[in-house]
Amino acid sequence: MIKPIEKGLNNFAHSSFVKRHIDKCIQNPEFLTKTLLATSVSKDVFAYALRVHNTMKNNEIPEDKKSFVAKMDATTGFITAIVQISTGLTLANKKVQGAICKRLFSSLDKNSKQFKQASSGFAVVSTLVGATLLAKRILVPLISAPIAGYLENNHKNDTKKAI
Amino acid sequence: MKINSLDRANFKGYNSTLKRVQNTVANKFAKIDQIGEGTNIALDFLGKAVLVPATIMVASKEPKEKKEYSALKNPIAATFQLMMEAPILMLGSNFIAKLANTGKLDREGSNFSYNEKLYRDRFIENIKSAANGDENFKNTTNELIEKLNKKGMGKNLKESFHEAIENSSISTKETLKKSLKEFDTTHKRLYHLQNRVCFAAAIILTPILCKAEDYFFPKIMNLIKHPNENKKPKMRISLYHFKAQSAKGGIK
Repeated sequence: MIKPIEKGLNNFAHSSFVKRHIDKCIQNPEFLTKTLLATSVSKDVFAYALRVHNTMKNNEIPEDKKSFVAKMDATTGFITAIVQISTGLTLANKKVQGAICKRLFSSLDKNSKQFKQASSGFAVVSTLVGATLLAKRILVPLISAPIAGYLENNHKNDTKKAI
Repeated sequence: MKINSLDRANFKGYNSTLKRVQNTVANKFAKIDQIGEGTNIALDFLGKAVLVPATIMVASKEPKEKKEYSALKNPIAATFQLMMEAPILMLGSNFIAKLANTGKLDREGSNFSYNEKLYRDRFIENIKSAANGDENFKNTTNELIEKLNKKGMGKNLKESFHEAIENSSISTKETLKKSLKEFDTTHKRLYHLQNRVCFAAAIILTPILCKAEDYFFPKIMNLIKHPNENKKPKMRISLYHFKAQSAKGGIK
């Protein structure tokens, strides 16, 4: 059992794509930030798509709540991806980071080693916190809750008309 | 009394405090070393378990019962996610590190890109042989090696080694710096490999996570909303009935 895993991992680790990707992550903090953003978004999108599929097939969730929960998940998944990517990329932008760091670390000399290290650390943390906490967890529910409600009302009206 | 303006230059105390705070914050950010899947998982859990339910409860105009149902789904999902992703990251990382350090991820020839132990041992050996004639350098590096053995490689430790090498009078400075760089790069390479593999594993296991969520969510909600429904009623029987039933052959 372990042998095929070892072989698979060895091939994966030495594939030219993974090698190039890892080297770029080490050399370029901006690329690393974007990679972490991409992993977070892809996990969410995949999970939300599965969740919608499973909710619709789950008979233990009451019928009247099922459609709202599924629509909430679908809307949240879609909006999560867009809001997270746009917030993350905006925060990771060099100009935005430069402007924030200039104010935040104004006591340090702009060319000093400490300023560069602090700016690099701040860029990764602020992008992740901004994208995964503020954008994904506050902005997204704020946007998707009314949209899901609207979709739910439309669904109810359609059902009434059909009856 | 006439006040012309509030000049920040007059508030010397405020300025020095601000500078001190800025320096502390800058130091904290400068010390940040490796941010990876672990940070992502922690932030995700925090947001999902606390922020989303609060936002849904405040922002949604749906009836309270529906809002609660949707809002409570998130902390439950976050707990399941944490219970799955954290062990994958920890156990998976240990497994990959073990493979890498025992040479199982090496390639024929001289491709030891992930073998951290090999470069670590080589670096320590180089440091020890270089420190033979220099007592000061020997003492400093011994302390640093002890830290390395206890905590592993980090940004601060790397800088301390660099500083010790730079400030020493040894003749093999460049060789040591090269050796340190190779060790550090291998350490980082292994870290990123661990992160990517664990991310792939988390994606592959997402369907199981979703299934578990869907199986347990209605049951947990039932327990929260109707805690008494699932409890079996306790059998109550008087002594008189017990005796009467016993005489008939016992109580089932």
